[in-house]
Amino acid sequence: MSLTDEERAVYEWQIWVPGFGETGQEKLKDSSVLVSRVGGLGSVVAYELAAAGIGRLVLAHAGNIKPSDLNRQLLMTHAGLGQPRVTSAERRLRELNPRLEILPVGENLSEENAAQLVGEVDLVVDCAPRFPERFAMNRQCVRQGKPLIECAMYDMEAQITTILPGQSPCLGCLYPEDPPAWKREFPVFGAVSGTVGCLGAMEAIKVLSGLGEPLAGTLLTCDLRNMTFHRRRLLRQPDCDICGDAANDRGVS
Amino acid sequence: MQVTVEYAAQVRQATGISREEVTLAEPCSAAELVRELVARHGEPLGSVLLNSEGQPQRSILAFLGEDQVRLDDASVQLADGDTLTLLSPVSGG
Repeated sequence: MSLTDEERAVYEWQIWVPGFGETGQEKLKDSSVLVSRVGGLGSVVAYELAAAGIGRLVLAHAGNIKPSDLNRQLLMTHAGLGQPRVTSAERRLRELNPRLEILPVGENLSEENAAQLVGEVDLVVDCAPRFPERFAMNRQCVRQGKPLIECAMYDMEAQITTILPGQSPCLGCLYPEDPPAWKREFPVFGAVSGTVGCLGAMEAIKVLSGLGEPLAGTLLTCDLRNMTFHRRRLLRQPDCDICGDAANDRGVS
Repeated sequence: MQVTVEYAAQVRQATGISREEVTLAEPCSAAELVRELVARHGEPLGSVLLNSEGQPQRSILAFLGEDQVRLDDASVQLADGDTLTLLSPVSGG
């Protein structure tokens, strides 16, 4: 869909990026993205995608705003304490970009709604804290052939990779089982979640517009204590239950 | 021989350090090194890295240099000067 004069004016600075241009901007306008949870990571992913001119966002996040959200969940406000997170997120995003189409979903992604939510969009950004949620998202993305950006953080560390089904290892290749030691509440700064959120949004923009090289098959690890960044090569696992040879033979993916 | 081990996320929290140099009397596999590290550090590193059968947890990511390796692959042998990085899974929130 071609751009309006207002859109050309708003996105002028990024349209100047070589390899992106007006064609890239039109691709973003025609794209839809599911952000699963709009917490520390997802708030920043959604805000950056709204700023970049994505056409449609599906936001999935249950629950109401708590004081402990406010160090990092940048779409939540002090005035909104006790109110639904997705309502606050939708309002903040509309303030920035009134052209954006938003589908707010007041529940977290689960095995029950994953197929439908993933089916709504062109690409998914995983910002969820619980691994069963992340596995359900991965399973559906592999099944439906949708790109999945995996964003994660802990303390002052970040990990991010991009899953292109059929081309790169999936989340099941990385973690064949629910990590037993993982707790859904953990130490982190908002500046760390914001860093990963910006990286995740950039990956989404690249994949949707065909710009640059996404992190497919590569895990970027960042240690913000000493600003050490590594690009680590991931193995695709032939015995993966989700995207491996046996799963393909069974028609799982 | 000497290898460097780097710890990240919850593995780092369990050891209290981000890296160490480990001197080994003889060449060993990556999995054998993990069991040696657990013997040196004890808990809580043991329960982060090993399952109830004493095998490396399948959800721990291991990298030799920048390349992922499987800890259940006995052919992954460490050489003098190698760096093994152990990462625990992390998520969003």
